[in-house]
Amino acid sequence: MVVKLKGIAHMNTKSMAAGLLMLLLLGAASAQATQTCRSDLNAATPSGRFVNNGDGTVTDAITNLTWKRCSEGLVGNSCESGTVITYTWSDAIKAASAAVFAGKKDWRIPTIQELDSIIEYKCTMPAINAEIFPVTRTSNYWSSTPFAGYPGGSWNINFNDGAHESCSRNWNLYLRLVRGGNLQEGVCR
Amino acid sequence: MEKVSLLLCLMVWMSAVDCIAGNLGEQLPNITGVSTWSSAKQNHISTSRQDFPRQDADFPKDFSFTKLDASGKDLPDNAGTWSCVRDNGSGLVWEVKTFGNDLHGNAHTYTWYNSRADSDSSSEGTEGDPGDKTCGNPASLTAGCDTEKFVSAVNAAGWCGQKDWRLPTVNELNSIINYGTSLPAISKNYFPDLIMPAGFWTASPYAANPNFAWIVIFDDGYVGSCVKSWAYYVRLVRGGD
Repeated sequence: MVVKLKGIAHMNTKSMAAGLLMLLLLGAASAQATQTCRSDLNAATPSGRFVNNGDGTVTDAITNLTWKRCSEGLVGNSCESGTVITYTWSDAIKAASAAVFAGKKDWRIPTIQELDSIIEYKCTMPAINAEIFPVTRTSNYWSSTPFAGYPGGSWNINFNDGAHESCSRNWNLYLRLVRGGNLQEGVCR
Repeated sequence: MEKVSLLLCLMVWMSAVDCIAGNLGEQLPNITGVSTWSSAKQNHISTSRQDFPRQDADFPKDFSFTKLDASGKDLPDNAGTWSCVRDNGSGLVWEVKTFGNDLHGNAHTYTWYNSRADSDSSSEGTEGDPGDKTCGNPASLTAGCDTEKFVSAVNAAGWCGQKDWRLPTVNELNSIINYGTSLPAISKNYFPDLIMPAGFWTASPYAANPNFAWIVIFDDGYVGSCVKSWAYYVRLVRGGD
């Protein structure tokens, strides 16, 4: 881990390769692991923060964002049915803009900071509140935030532990959709 | 009830007064600083893309920072010297490092150490020794170069008129990542003090390994973890509680 961090810190372009290597290693090692949560740490995302809308979505009372509870491809009250899908970033953008779910059409890929807001730092494998977001993969989920240092790169969050990583938009990653929040399209500037 | 408080909080924030989430928790404004768009293979595109809709830059929200002087008073935006920066979105006040070898020198590094880590099962980390050279050994920090000793030394001396400085959480520190730029990924007009590779400690324990803590590397905005014996930079924070 330390060696990897040194690599990332020293070489901006090489960080992409290090991130990809990490992705490969974790992808191979963690088909579906058992979640571990530390009872001695405070919850970052307690269940009481979320309103279950009963339609496959939850609304976060702090950020006002509405999230799909299941990763794309999964359905059901506990996300127990369906087959989880991975997307290139371009396909994820298209899937989000075409999505109609819970009567809404304004679904999108979360920004890196929005996706960061549902990391549960007391848990790993996956680092998320599993009661609110069942069957979350212990792997990487797309954000809509570009990686400024590399033309074809974007940010993602590895829900194995909550690390923020970057990779080529050609890579196939998981997707969780979001809508609403305190941001409005095209204002504030 | 919660929605009412959130609305109130937003109204207060929009009238340019610090907005602290209060009883709703400590979530910070989700600002990324990104104002350009991406296609499949390009970044830094200056116009929105109908073929790639609803990207980060389609929901613009800018950082708002105010420079503060050594006593904590607001300075005009064009001030040439300043000691701290207030993030008007989160209300947090950040230490700005100096370019010297004093207590706040930007080249100084520290191991992660917290003698009170026994409140959870994380390790205390790695304590600095009096012989340490990585934090310049100013007279006020002769005990060694670790995060706890640095926080104590800054609060003993005071900085920007305050003595309640602390190590930021990972959420707090990543709230000032500016994803619109790289090398470094921070608003350089307010934080011109980075030396790259710019790895900074947070106070947040890493759940998977009690000997690790969360870090932010401001070269490009990577958020990850590292063993507590590593020597990283520290940017202290105050307020926001």
